[in-house]
Amino acid sequence: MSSTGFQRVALVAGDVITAYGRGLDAAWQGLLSGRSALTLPSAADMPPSGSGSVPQGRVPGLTRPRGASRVRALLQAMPLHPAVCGGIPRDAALFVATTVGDVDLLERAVLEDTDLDAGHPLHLLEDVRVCCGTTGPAACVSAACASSTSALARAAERIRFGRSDAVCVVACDAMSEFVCSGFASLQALDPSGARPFDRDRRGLSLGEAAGVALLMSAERAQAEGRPVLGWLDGWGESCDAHHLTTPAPDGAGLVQAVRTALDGAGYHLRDIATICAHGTGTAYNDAMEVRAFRALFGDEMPPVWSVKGGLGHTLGAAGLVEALLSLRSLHAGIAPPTVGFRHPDPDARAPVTTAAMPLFGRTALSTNSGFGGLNAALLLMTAETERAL
Amino acid sequence: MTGIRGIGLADASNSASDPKAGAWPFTGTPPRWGRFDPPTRALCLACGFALRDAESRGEAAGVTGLVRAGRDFCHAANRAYFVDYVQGGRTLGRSSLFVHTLPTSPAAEAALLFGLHGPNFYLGLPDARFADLLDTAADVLQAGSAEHMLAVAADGGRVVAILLARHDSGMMRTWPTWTSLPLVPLPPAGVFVSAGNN
Repeated sequence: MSSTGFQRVALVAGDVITAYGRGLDAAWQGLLSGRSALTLPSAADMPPSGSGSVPQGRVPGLTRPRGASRVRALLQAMPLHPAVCGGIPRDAALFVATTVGDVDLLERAVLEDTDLDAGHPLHLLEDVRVCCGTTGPAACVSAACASSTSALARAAERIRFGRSDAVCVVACDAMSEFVCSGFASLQALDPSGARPFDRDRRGLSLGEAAGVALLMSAERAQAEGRPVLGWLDGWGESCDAHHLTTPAPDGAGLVQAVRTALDGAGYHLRDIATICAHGTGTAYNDAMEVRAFRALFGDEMPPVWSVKGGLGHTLGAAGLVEALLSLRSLHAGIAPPTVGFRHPDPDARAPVTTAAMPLFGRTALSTNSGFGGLNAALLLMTAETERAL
Repeated sequence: MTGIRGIGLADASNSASDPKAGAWPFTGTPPRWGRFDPPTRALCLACGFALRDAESRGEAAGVTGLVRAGRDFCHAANRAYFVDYVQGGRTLGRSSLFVHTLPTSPAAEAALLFGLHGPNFYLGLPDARFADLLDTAADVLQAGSAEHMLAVAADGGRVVAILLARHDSGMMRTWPTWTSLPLVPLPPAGVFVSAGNN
């Protein structure tokens, strides 16, 4: 327990499945290689009209069990069961983060004019609870593309304020005709694949992923002899209250979220060694983020990177995947290259590179933003620090 | 200590959703009101009543967030979008419908309407009680992410909005007895009339 009387939040285990394949290591090595995992969908993966033929971050070789959704296939392939993460405690609280859950079941129900309730996210929550074997409190958390960032914040709050000492967060969103057609209708997809922070960026690339993270109080982690991957010391969220889909251009909402995270952690801006940005590749998002980071750091901005040119925008899963990759980055002492980035944007210049950069420090800032003007920020610190358990 | 500062209750089917009704909480008709679906209207009304309830005590200033909880997500909006897309030949969806296919869409509209700059998220709680929702909102206040939180329970077109505020650094949370009621289905309005004076 910290000197403030609150519990420190330890991230003790985590795993992901992304377009780079199974496991966090596959995603990390994929990013380091500079190779994009975005591919054009096969004919079988496209709707009859052929719309949506733009690069996507699909998990390779994913087989969907008969009657199951693609999200269930992702969770099964990750895999998710009580023994993962060194064993998920039965008494752990559970948060499932998603934007649309089993939406392909809803698609099928509409096409076949069947079950009105098909694809309801509460069914997913119940199934994930069975997969994890938990009996504690459970809820779905949804905050657009910051869903799993928000779920991690909820988990950290439960632990910090003593309402739980173990929380499992599961994040998942899969490729679907529903989502592809929707983002196509917004003309938000880059036909060449996402190029975050690039001068010539034209939009995002959709991806799919699932992830799981187990968080514990420092006391419980120590009592159970769990290895601590890192600390989730700060989090902050905000709403631009500006537009339903477009972020506030000045980035004030994101600045507010980051400052809240810093205040909660008791950190200074100079402590931040790197930023894993939302970096979707849309003109508005990336420009907003750079303005926010510029407002915070001025000319002292640490290395900034985005994963979305490599594995796509995984929507509700993005925050958890990126939080785990941020910790991996700190452990490796390297900021990975931003796949898809080629030419700096003179109007949104940030320390984004095509090559890996060395890091000096033990704290990473991971940010996400979403429809509705939602912003979320996490501050993660590696465990080997002067702050002992 | 975290306390309840305002309560609002709205039902999309009752007269309060009519701008000409006596209980109407806004000055004039808010922008985009005609485009709101019934759940969004009910949510905005309930939030408006809760904020007005608190403003009457001069306590609603500062960064305010919103957590909406329930069982419905935005399943009906998702279905409406996809049905429209299929009926249109599965070539291109309608963006005006797609932007409302998130559980946070109604709350985002409320944030725009009232200038709510705090955290904004949706909780799908299958078996929760009002106290669980209030505890989640109180956690956000305790973490310093907002000065006020609207904790909103929504069950289709029926919505209860409860405005919470934190007064000091203590963790004491004493909720009224009615918060032991299940979140869904929502209890009748009379429960909240008496609870507001609790």
